[in-house]
Amino acid sequence: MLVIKLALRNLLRNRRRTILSLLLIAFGTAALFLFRGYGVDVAAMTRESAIRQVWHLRIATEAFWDGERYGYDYLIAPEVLAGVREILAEEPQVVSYTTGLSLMGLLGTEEKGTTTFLAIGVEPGNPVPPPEIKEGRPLKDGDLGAMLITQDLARELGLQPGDNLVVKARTIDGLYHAANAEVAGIYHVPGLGGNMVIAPVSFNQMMRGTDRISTIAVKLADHGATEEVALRVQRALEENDLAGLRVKTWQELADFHHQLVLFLNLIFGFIGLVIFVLVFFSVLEALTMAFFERIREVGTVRAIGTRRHQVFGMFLSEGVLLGLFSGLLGVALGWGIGSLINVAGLTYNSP
Amino acid sequence: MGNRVSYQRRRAHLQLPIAGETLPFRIALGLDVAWAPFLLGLVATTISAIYPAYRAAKLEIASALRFV
Repeated sequence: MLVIKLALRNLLRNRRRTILSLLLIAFGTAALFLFRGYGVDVAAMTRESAIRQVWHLRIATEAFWDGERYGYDYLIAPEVLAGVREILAEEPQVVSYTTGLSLMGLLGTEEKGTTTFLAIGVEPGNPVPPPEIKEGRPLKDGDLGAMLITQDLARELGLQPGDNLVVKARTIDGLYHAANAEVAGIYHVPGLGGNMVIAPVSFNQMMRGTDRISTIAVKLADHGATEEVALRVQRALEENDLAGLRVKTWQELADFHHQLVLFLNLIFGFIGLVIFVLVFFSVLEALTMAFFERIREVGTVRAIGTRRHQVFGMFLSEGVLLGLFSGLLGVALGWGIGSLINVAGLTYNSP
Repeated sequence: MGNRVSYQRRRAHLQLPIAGETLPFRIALGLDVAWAPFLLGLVATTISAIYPAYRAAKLEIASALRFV
């Protein structure tokens, strides 16, 4: 206790030097706090975004995940899908799921020309987070030839909700197939390509001449249960002779999220190292100066019976106290600036 | 000869439509954020105090009092 009291007195004795060291460490701590706070928030947002995009689990065939096969043997047959539906129905963590099948081809009208497109197939009745509909309506149950198109595509082809389109695509047998479709709505999602169309999975199946699907996206009630449910579902698939299917978690599929977290950690580590070195040398200098100024004092306290380790403790306590106070001040400062930034409500568009 | 389906094209299957949004510029303010900067400052300060403390502890009484 006496050591702490003495350390405090010594810190207060040379206030200017103490305040300078305190401010330097506090600003360094605050800067680190703010950067880390930003990094944690960005990581949480990309995690949410990744989950919204791929959902918690994806089920597909091994061939689909391998990625370098020929033909369409990677598609999931209806009888296999029925087995998966049974397994998912028994899993309490599953909130919803949707089957998917994409489609590529040409779409357009005779008057306005054609362009290429990539259609994401979804089950309209499923609570997929709907994109922002700018005009028209979202997809609904029973829609077959209805599509949501991007604003870019609507502009390019001069399309409006209710307009009819001719869609041409190749079936899995390699034949060309044309069908009519209607523009149900025009949506906007930053980052999704200008020719990205959202269509009912049944439409994509019809166009590709198959009753199969490529993946099943599963949404869970609890993020934290992802790994555990993935293992359970995988085990259930194997027990039900559906071993050709493999479950992947969003963590396995969200490359961008992992890269971003790694990048932010690297930057945090670098800034942390710079601030560490800065604090180290400035405090070293301040305390060494204090030592030289107090040589006589050290001799006196040693002469009246103070042991070496007590002198060591006295100086070390000064450093620890300085670190504690400036750390707390830095966190408080970072907290204050962070709160101001949060209150200001600044926004930016995701890259 | 079958149709070659590229990996990129299969990856397109993974995408579901997401709600477009403008992202808020926010700073997470929890204790889980604060501990690392606080600890880093504390450790840097403590380590930098070791050398002066060692020098002070090693000081001989006679040589220190020479300045009196």
